[in-house]
Amino acid sequence: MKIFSVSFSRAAALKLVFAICLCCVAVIAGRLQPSKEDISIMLPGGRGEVAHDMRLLQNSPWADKVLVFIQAPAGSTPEKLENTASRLAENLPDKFFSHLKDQAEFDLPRITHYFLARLPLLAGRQMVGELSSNFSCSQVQKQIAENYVQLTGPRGFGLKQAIMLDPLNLRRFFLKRLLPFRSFMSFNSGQGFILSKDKRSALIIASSRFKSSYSVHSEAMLRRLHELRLKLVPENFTFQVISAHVYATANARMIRSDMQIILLFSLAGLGLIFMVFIRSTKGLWILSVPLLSLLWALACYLLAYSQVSVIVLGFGAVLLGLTLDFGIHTYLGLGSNLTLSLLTRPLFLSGLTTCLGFAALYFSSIPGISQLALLSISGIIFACLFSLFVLPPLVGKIEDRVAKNKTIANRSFLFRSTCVFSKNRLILWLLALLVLGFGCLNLHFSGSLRDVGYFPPKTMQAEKQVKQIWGKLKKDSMLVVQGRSLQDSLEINDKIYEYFIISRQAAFLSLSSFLPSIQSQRLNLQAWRDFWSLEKISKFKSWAQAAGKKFGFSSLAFSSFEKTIESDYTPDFITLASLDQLGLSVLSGLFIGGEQNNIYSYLESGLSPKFSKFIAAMPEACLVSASGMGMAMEEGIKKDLVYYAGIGLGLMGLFLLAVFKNMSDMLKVFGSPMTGVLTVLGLSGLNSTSLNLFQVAAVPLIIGLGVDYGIFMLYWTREKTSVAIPMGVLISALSTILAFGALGLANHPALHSLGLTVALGVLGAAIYALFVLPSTFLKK
Amino acid sequence: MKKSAIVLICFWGIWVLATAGRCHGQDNLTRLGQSRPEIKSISSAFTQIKKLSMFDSDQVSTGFFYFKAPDCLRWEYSSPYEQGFAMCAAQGIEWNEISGLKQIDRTNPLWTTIADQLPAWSGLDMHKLRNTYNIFVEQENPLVLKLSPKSRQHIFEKIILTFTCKENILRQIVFFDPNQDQTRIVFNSTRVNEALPPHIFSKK
Repeated sequence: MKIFSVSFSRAAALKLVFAICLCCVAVIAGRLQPSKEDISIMLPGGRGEVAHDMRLLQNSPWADKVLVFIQAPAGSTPEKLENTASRLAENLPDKFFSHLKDQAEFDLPRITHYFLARLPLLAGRQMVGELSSNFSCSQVQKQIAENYVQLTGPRGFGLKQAIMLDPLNLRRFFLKRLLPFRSFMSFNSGQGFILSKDKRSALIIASSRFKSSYSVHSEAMLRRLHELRLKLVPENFTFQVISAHVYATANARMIRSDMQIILLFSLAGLGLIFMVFIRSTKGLWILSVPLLSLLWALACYLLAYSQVSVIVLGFGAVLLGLTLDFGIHTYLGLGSNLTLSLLTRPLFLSGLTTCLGFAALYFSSIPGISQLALLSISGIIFACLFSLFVLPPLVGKIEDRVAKNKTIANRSFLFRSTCVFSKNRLILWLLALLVLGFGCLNLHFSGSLRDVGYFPPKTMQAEKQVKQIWGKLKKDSMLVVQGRSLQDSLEINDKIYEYFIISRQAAFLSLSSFLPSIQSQRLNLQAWRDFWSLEKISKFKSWAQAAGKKFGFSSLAFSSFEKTIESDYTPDFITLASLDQLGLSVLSGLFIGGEQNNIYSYLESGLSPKFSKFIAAMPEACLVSASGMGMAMEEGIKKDLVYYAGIGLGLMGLFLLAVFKNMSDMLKVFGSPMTGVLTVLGLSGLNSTSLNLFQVAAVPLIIGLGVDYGIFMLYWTREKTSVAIPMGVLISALSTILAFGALGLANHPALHSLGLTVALGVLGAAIYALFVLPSTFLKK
Repeated sequence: MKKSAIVLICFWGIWVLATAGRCHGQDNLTRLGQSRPEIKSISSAFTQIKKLSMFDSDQVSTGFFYFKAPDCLRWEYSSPYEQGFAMCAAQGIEWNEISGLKQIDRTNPLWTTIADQLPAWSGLDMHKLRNTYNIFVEQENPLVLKLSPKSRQHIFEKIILTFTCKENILRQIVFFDPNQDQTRIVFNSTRVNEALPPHIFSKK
């Protein structure tokens, strides 16, 4: 082929490499922003629903909460625990946490009095509704009698104040609202922690200033907490930090530790392959193909996107590992002019088909995958051109150990294995496809992020303990209201809450329970005032006096309540500031957070269809749940798999058909990626394991490599000039299997599953390309 | 409601403490807890006198109290109105002449507190007592203890316990409100570790 005769001189090639490096580095340095570690880029619909929900989850008040769980050993005094928790809360560094110590002390009698005095603001309309149908002398008498019984009975100690302020027991409407808040009853925000009933455990609920996705800050924060633990917490105390930061940091640490082992095994494996098959220092130039491709692709990517995602970059580096194959084929082909010319066409073809496959990914519903497509296409085009034009002069003349003795080479096991027609192989392959196809029927996808993350057992255990001691503080689903202003959000929140009360949904924690909007409070107060006409006030007083006298109540026993029914009764409205003064800021802070004006409510389980319909009709409200997001992600993954395996393969097929003008050749090539993908999907189905996000993202790599193997081996079957091509495919497959097989050794679930998926997929594709494709389609 | 339950259990626990203890000073309080013989059951009559500003005169009630280890409790008033509660393990009932009989809602903090705290108090855990109250010996013989709540969240200003010296049992407990209201409960005919009919913890 002429193309190699126009190759550069070695010096020119070196200059070109230097210039490419310089340009890429300049672009990267000029455009690179601080990296993002945001997983939402890998979620379906990054510009749509799931990513929006993910943002709401990440910005929820719980997302930045750091729970510090401390447990005293048996025999320790409660004072010691309280002192420890108190000192720890006081010493939480301002750099990482917002202030705990400035909050007012949680004063239950004061809080009770505050809310009882504002019952008309909280539930005026409900109370009036009840009173309208039950306001009679007999009802008042009955209630006064019950008050007497209660006051003299076991409940009397705690009810005195409530009966004075509310002799008609209208507080029951408010108390109903507070039932879901039982877990929070023991809050003591003044000290910055809550104690368990047995006073053996304490929980500090702190707000972090940094999101868990900022791994550097997370690590620093956890390090500081560990230092505080050593300084302030007795050695025999249990100490556990529970937060998203812990999980993020544990994952980052595990990946770092895994990478050391993986790198060691990968390098050892690649070194072994190099020693066996290449045996020349010139062969090191092969590595320049993926390295320079990555540099080039990164520069192109940064020209299109201002901020680089660490996840995209990581995956991009892995995907561009397939460009190593171009280098291997060129290097092996350099020993033989015939082979090299033979290589040109398959190299171009494989590069273009892989690019077509990745082009389909550009339309993926996962934004990270779209970005990966751009990164990969630019890298592959570069690798293809670099391998053909620049790599040969860089390597120079080499002694082709493989092709040196054609006779010996052609007698090699590889040559003999690939060149023999075998009906049995075809039957075996078809049987294997049948079994794998059967496995695909049992294929499942998992959208759960839990399947791709590492969860430290100690933290999980501590989470369980916290749940056992204080109940389930964090609910499964969240209802988020996003109004124009806080009061606007509160008003919408009230509407939802009122609907919730009417339809009696499952446990629902809402800020409206104790902080209705000012508008709602006004309406409640107005309804209360409208009800208490002068006539009704007079009636109540006379009925209560008469009934009270019978039981020995003094004439002033209910004077506090009588003040609230006077027409000039104007209590201060309940506001966030007043709740803060009562020491309830920790509680209210669990409902307001993230983006400005967002109000979160928490649900134990999903919504009824009727309630869902009601919520769907409110543009300012949306339901967010981990399970809902998981389902949406599963859908997204399935959709993307159709893109990868369907549209990608379809485009490649059409292209190859146009090139070969022969359906048979196209199918021969396609057998390779198809076998690779079926191996992964089929084995996953047969093993009854679910494919996760990272495994699906690995499918294009298998398709890309599989097509390459297929194209090379198809050309080789036509000419069979040297064993260099099957040798190139073998080395390429072995290096990929070894590199990704090493990932399979990782402890981190994402790396482990990714490694095994690619290794198995490439194994399947390579077995087909090397042993099924040539032998099956060779003429006898 | 929750606080009233805590107080109720408190005074019962202190009473258990008293029945097992010796009539000595504060130094013996810890030993009192440690050397207490195993309590399997308690029964006692009581008279309750409430001096509340809401009433023109003192309100006097009488009734009975029963406990059976580990977690059965009955507190009932016989006059002037019949009312009370009985609970054992996860089950419980409460009644009064106005509302009638109803099942105890064990998810209610009042009953959850009782169920949680009962075993602790029956074990006479001085750590818990000292954690909730500052304990002062007001008088040695007969022993009079003043319990001052450590937390300002407490609805009582102080609690005074009076023990009989000879029988080592709680004779009287007085709860003082911050507004000078007080509730005095006087115990009599107390019996320890005697057989109790099982149905009293499940039926009215």
